Amino acid sequence: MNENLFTSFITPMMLGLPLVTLIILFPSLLFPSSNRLINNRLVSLQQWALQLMSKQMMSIHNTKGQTWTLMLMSLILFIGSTNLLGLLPHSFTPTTQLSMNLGMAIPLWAGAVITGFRNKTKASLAHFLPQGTPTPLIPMLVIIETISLFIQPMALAVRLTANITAGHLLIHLIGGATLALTSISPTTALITFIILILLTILEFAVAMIQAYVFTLLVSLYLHDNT
Amino acid sequence: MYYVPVMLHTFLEIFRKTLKEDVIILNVQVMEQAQKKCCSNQELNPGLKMMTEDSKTASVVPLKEEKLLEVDLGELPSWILMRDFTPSGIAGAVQRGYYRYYKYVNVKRGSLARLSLVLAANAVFNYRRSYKELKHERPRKYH
Repeated sequence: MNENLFTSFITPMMLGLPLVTLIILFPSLLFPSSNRLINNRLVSLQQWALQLMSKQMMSIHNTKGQTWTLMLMSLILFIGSTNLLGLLPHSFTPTTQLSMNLGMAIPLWAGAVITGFRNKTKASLAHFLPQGTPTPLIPMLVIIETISLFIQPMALAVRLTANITAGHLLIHLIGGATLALTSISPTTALITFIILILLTILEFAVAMIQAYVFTLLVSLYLHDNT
Repeated sequence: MYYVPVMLHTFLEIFRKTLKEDVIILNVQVMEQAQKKCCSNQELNPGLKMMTEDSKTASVVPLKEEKLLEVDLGELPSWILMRDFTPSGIAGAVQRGYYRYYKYVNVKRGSLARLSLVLAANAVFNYRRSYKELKHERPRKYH
């Protein structure tokens, strides 16, 4: 059973060719680009959603921070769409792979931090010490703040990986339990099935929330540093 | 679902006659007109290829510009090797393949049925991909 549970998370290859590239590129087909003023339904819906998200997320930044709008909006679209597509049966979700999430988190975090250090050095260094700390505590607090700074990209990546992987695993387990219980006691199977439905609704929410949280945190790191 | 024919057509486009300039043509109609213009040999190379009924005249189109269906079987390997496999060539081919299918992607009145068909095709594709591992989960007494 152990092997069956985790086989949905291995990198998909076909005849030795990396099929995972195609799977990662697939959500981009669902977001067609269009140059017209008035578009079809799909594009209009996506433009409305994008406008909503960008207004909500980028309004707190100053001019320099708002240059990151394109990056953050494409990030939230990518993570949201890959997470949601992973809820289809038998799909492979690229965001379950820690390697990919690290690849997304570390450059973005490092970009924000390095921009802060280059442009506003004093203010960036001042982040290491919260205001109003008693003097004897200062050395320890600086160390703690440094550790918390360096843990930010790891936390970003691991948060996303763990949430999506855990959700998928739970769905697999409870679905398997429901199937096994139907022959033994249908009532329990019905209860388990209701749990499965609730879990799936949760997973839909989690998929979108995780995308939002990831992007929000990156924008927060950006806000500190611009 | 769209990327299977797009991939196929990309490979075909790599082997097609190249357009004179690989610019981004966003208007699909202009793109199709350009393809139509490029397709007919006689408009592009009026003097070169003589499609007469006289079988004695040899075709004088240079090998590099011949279309895939008009290449002789014997010169197929050399024709394949002559194609443009540089990154910009491949990028141009992907672009042409994608925009040839763009009219099925960007429709005037999309619907939920169209989108759910794409998602269903995605599910079927992934089932086919992971069939080897799924074989063991069939409800059988002896696996």
